[in-house]
Amino acid sequence: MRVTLILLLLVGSLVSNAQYAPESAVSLGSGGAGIAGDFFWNGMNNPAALAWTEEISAGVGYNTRFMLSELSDRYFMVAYPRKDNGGTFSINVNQYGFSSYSLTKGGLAYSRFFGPNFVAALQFDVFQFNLGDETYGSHTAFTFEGGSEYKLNDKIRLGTQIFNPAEVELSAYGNEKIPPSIAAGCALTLTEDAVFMVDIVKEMYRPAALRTGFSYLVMNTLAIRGGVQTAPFSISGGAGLHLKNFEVDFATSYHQILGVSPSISLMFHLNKQ
Amino acid sequence: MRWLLFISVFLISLSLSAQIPDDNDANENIENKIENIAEQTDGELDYTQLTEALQYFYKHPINLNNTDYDELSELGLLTDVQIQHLLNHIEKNGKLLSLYELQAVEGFDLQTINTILPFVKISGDNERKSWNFSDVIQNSKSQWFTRYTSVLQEQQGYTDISDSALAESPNSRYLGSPYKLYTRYKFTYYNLLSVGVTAEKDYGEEFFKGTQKSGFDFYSAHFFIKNLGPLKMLALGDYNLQFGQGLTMWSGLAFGKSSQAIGIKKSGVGIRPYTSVDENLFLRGGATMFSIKDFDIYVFGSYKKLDANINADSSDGEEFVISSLTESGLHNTQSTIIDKDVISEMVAGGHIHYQKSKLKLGFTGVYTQFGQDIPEGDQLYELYYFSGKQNLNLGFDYSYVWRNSNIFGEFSRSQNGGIASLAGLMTSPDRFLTFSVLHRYFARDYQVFYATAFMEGSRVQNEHGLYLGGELKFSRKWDITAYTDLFSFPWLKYRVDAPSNGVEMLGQVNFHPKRHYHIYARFKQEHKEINSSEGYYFSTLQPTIKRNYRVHASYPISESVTLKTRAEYMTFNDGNEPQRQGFLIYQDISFRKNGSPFAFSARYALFDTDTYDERLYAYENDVLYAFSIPAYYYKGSRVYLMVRWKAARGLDFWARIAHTHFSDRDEVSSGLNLIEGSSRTELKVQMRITF
Repeated sequence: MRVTLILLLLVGSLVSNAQYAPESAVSLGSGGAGIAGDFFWNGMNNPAALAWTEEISAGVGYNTRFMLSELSDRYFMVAYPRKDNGGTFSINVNQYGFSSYSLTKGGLAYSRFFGPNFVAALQFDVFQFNLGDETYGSHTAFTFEGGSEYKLNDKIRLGTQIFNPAEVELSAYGNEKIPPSIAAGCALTLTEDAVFMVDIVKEMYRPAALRTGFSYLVMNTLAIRGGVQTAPFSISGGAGLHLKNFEVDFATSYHQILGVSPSISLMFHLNKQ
Repeated sequence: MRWLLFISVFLISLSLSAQIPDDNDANENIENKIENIAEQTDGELDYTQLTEALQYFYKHPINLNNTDYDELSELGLLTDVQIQHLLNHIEKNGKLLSLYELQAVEGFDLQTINTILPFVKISGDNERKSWNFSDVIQNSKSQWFTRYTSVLQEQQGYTDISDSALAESPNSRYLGSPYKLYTRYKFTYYNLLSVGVTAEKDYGEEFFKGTQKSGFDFYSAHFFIKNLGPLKMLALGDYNLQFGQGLTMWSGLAFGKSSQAIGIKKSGVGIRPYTSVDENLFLRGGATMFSIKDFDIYVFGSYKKLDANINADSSDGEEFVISSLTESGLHNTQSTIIDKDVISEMVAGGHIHYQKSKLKLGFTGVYTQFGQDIPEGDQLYELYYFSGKQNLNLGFDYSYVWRNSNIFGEFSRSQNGGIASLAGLMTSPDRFLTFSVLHRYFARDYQVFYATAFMEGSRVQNEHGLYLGGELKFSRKWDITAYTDLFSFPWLKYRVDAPSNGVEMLGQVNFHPKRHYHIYARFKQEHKEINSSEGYYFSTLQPTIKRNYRVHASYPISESVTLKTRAEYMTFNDGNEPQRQGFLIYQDISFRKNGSPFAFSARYALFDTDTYDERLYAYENDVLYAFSIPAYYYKGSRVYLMVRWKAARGLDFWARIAHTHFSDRDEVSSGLNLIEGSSRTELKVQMRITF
């Protein structure tokens, strides 16, 4: 029973997340939104976000979908901002699944400013899809994504991200494609401590989704987050603790039938030089 | 290949910086309006005529200190009330000292000023309002365009076929080659003289052989002169006429309903040289205008051949009988060749225009005669369509500006007694609020051939409607536009087997945080009735409701690079059937820098609609004087890249490639255009020589 359920969900969640960019605990807490974000972890929503990063930073995270370890994501990311507006190099690796079914994505990105208010990034991706089975074996594919963010004024940031526009195939097997996607988002800084974000995300084989959420810094060390996303519909919430050079974020989303999907991410950054 | 294309686009876009602002305010207005026209029609239209005036004024800005009503009206960006206020302001306060002074003119807000800015100036008399023969040679300009368009995939109509199979079904293949070829030469002296030839070969038409011995399938030539002695205007060859509100005579395209909710009035320019390649929407012959005191008098005549379906029953040798007129302009199969130019159409008439300060009156008479009888249609919905040989349309139009209001309208009558009327009011109670009301009544039996009025349907016939639109400016940055249009069709229509009603509503919130930045959210809803799919024994109507939700942001990120993002979602309810949906999202980037020989624009779009009914339209950048407003439907992605290269002084090249990939089907299009495969790629190359 459990095996069947897992297999069903695996297939379902692969379809539902075929682009495969896991949501960090920061983004998940805000309903998955973050295309126009400027925080380290928003680099997983949109690599352009890392251009805003000023310190060398690294983070790791873990999601379980619906509390099933077989449906978990593991990810880490390192960002290295160069001096004198030399842009930010970053590496991220995400893995989903378990021994007999896994999808691994590695990305190498370069993000930088173009003018005072515009940041853009290009990221090269490698995918490895492994069925742990001799018949289907494993497949590797290379593609790329790009993103940009524009700071319209102190309150509004607009972001956009395009993934795999070359529509690279994962394997020649039935022309299985890595689904391309376009996402557009807006971040509204309501007060110094509160940000509201809304994203529209469209992936080729899935219905368009709206992701919206907020993040509120209740005190210097504590942020709380909440949000909703559609297709599939879920509500999420989370919190983040900021302790000197260290941050830990928790979040969970809640699906009416499948339940909760908790997530944690840890991040460390060096002092600003 | 695709990889390289994308990466190069991306890298180019990253490595570019700064320069002249994209003049996108007026362009965006036009793009929005053209999108609306495209939504109303199934065919491909040539929108050149709608953008030519702007192109001209961009190169030859209007000197506001030396202008008149007609010129400002031709620009098409100001309302009559605004024009009147501007002219009054100058008359009262003397010449404008700076363009900043426009802010002091009543009815001019920042948005209006930004929109017209690229097209106006306040000094310099280098524009010719009248002839100076000594500099005709020096200041005239020749332009020669050639454009090649082709679909890269093989289409059904061009595949090999055995002679016997072709003999059996001669219309199963196109006669000619699978590309489109367009060429145009035009000689101009400001806007005082224009002489030109345009020629086009459509997809599948033959070229210099077979059925097209003279080369192109369509030729058009014009000679147009303005303000020469007593002749205010003279057109020989192909031309368009625009009078009144378009009920009696308006032979080209015109803007209709759009998110510029208060722009409901037409301002015709009288005679316009014809340079487009639509094979029906123009007149061929001569037209002239001269003035006597406050009266402008127009006289025109036209004779041309039209395509028509020939009735299969026609006996050989005898005079054939036509069954209906056709308007596609395509002559690429045996049957369309047979239908070509089979009936003659003669149009003759005149228009008298009286203008005294703020009052304008016009009277139009148009007589049309066909070479043979147009038969009555077989369908009940065609009952009141024109049949017979001749028609006479008489029309009376008026416009009066009083303070902040403008009333206008037109009455018209066709020979059979059918009448049409349109009356409108635009008024600005204060500078932040403008609204428009328009009532139209086109009788079911009103018959006219060259007419384009403010309407819901596609013919000036069988429609009764009341429109209310408004624009409220909250601040310099925020405004809201909205309209509601109630309409009814007193008689049957195609796919509507009973009199029907409908309502269309639009609301749009606009945000202009800075100059050239435009962010908006739009909701549009349209109720209409069409034949029910459930009526087995007799037709009944069922309501359909279309709702569109759109967000759009257009923002220059530097002086030379502009980004545009749009997401649009729509739902379609068709009677009791389950709701269907459509979605489109795209990201555009365009680069244009003064001084750089290169400019480019690119788009990547994803779309997802349940059926063709949920299709969404979006304007695409195209090579100069070509237009692409495709419907996005089914599921897939679309990408295009366009590059312009100024190779040398007077020599420009454009290239555009557009590729659509459908993720949910293995065949694209149908009939002779069928492609076996899931992609369609269109290539366009254009060259312009200016001397």
